[in-house]
Amino acid sequence: MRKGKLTLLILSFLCLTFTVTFLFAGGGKEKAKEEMKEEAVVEKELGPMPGEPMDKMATRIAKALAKGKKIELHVLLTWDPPGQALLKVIPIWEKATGIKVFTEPLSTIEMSQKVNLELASGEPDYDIIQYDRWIHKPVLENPNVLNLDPYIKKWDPKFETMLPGLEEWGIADDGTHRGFVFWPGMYIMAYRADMINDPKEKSAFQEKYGYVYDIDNLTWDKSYKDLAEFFTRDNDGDGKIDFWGSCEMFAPYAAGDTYMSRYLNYWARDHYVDYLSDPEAGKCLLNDATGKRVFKDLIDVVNAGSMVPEILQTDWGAILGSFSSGRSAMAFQYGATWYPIQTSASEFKISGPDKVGFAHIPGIKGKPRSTMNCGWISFITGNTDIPEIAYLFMLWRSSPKIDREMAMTSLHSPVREATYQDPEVIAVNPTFKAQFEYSENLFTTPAHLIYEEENLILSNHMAAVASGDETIDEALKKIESEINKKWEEVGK
Amino acid sequence: MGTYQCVKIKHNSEKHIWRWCVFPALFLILFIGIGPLIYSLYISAHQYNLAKTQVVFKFIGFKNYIFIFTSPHFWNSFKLTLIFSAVSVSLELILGTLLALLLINIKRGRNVFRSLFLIPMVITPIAVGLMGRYIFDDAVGQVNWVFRLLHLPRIIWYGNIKTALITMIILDVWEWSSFVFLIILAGLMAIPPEYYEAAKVEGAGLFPIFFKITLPTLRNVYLLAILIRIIDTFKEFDKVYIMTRGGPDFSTDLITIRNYTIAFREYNIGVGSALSILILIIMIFLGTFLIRLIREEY
Repeated sequence: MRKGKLTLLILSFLCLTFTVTFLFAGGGKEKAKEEMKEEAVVEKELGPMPGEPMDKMATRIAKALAKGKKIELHVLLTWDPPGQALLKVIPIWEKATGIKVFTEPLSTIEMSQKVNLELASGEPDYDIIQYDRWIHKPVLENPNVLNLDPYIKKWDPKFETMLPGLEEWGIADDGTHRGFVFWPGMYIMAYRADMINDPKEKSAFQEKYGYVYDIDNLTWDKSYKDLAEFFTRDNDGDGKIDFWGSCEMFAPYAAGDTYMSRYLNYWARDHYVDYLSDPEAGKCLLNDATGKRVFKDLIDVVNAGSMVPEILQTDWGAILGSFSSGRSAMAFQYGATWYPIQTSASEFKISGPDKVGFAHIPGIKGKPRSTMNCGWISFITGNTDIPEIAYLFMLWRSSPKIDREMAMTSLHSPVREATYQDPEVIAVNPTFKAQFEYSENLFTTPAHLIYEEENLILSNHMAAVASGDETIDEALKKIESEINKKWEEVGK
Repeated sequence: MGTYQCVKIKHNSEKHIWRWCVFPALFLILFIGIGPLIYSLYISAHQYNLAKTQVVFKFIGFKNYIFIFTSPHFWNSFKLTLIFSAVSVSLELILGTLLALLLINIKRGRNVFRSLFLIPMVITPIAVGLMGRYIFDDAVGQVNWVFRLLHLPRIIWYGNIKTALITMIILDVWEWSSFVFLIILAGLMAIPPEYYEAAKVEGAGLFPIFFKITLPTLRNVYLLAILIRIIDTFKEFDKVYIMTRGGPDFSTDLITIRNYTIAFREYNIGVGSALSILILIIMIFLGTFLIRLIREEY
């Protein structure tokens, strides 16, 4: 009896254990199933949906990621047009995601210092930093800049629909994506449409030079020089020249852009690897036949007296003043500079489509034309707590819809090809047509460590040659020696 | 004896309490003044580039200093700073003295004129630089507009290698002559009128009075003005940076602009620190020399 009771007890215990184990095991499976279901929902929630616009996808996923959490994005930006454009659309993001964006706008000068100091600190205070691409190379290689590749793989930014070359801007030496272009700038020509398109001027030019000029197809070494000379004149008849054929920038740093606009056309098409310097060898490449030719072309126009006399003080800001006050027939600068005069504006003597036209910069006969591209790029800091949301914000900002929205409402330079071709956008910003026409041949400023130093050296010797203080050969020798010394400083 | 001890203790505590009062200020000075200076000295002996992580941080001894002394740009900057400082301060002294002499005899409205003359001095240097860009603009500047009215040739002020530094000097003289004027006016007002009355009784003219009474009496006032202005002109940065950034062709590349370019455009903090130390040494020598001159009087 006692034995039977014990057996019953053991059996009951085993039954209970089995039942409990079964129940738990079964429940676990259920739970696992539920978890899997949830994961699938989350994956679906966090993944792209077919046909969904990029901006919608970015805000939807960011909202899902931020669910139940108090998330804030901290963005360091410039208060120049690239920053202003972004500030205008931030409320759209905040409304769609509920994620508040805190911005700190700085001037371009402060930005360069701030970015470098933030990164040098090892613990940047911002999730996203936008900065001028000019200083990009040293920044891009900084270990405190986040590798974007895992996020690009998850959420495709569709680089193929952006202007050619923009993706490459953000690639570091190790081949990983570190930056994201959101505001490119193309170097274009503004010209006096009322004069240059005038048939009387055209026939007078033909009579003098023996050919008809085509403003959309000028060449640096011939027709541009002739045109600049032709339009240099004494308008008020007092015996002194008061109107010049052209205006270009020769002020420190800005002069580098003037040089590059020619240099790229002469050289970069054939040697799209290194220009100005060979970064591997740490050697200046300027003192050669191409470098000389570019210098000669430039100085010929200056020596002929066809450029406004204040070129040595003309920088990115001043060139608009020179052209819009009616001092030159042609002028060159990044597209955004000309935005204020593309429509009639009472504060400018020369403005509006009747007086101002936009075209490619000149090129070299027989070669595809190139222009220089510059602009703003942004990156995510390595120590951010919300890399995915930060990435989605950058993706959203560069999405076709937001790109277009910014182009319509501010001085934004779009990244998507479609925005440049949109008739409504072109109606608001006619320079886009000229910018897009040669976007196939965009070249960026050199992606090497000492470009800024190189640029200043080049600027100063351009000023010396333009002033007659140095010959081209002397200038090139000095440029070569000074640039090589800079390479030595960075251990080359 | 007990009373004496008590008095002694009290006296001692009073004697030492100043140390406790001075300590916070001393600590602050050491912390925010001397600390960074020592750090700057340390950095100046290193290869250190803030932006280029490829440039390894390492001890290089006096190499940064050697680099500066063998750089033609440094000597050019040093020469330009000396010219800028000497010419600006001299002109400011002459103009300030003339203004003060003009105003010392005006009894009515002196304060109004004094306030008017002080306006340039109270404008932010950055704003002076921005105004300078427009005032001296070749095409739309007011100076060339006046030149045109007077049928004078148009000058490219800060966009020409030969005239850029002169433009910076003119702008500095415009801004700071009023400061010198203010100091000299105060000095002039402190000269006892009896000196002049005695000189007049002796039959002295305007020039002998100025050279024999006014100038010698104001010797220390002038030395003080020179000391302050030389230090100021040596660290001139704002206006030049806004207007020319050291160009064209390094023609306005003052020593502070050079320092800024090296430290905050090229982020070569090692060389930048070394140059800051050198500037500091120059300033200490100059300051000490001028202060000794002032002290010799006493």
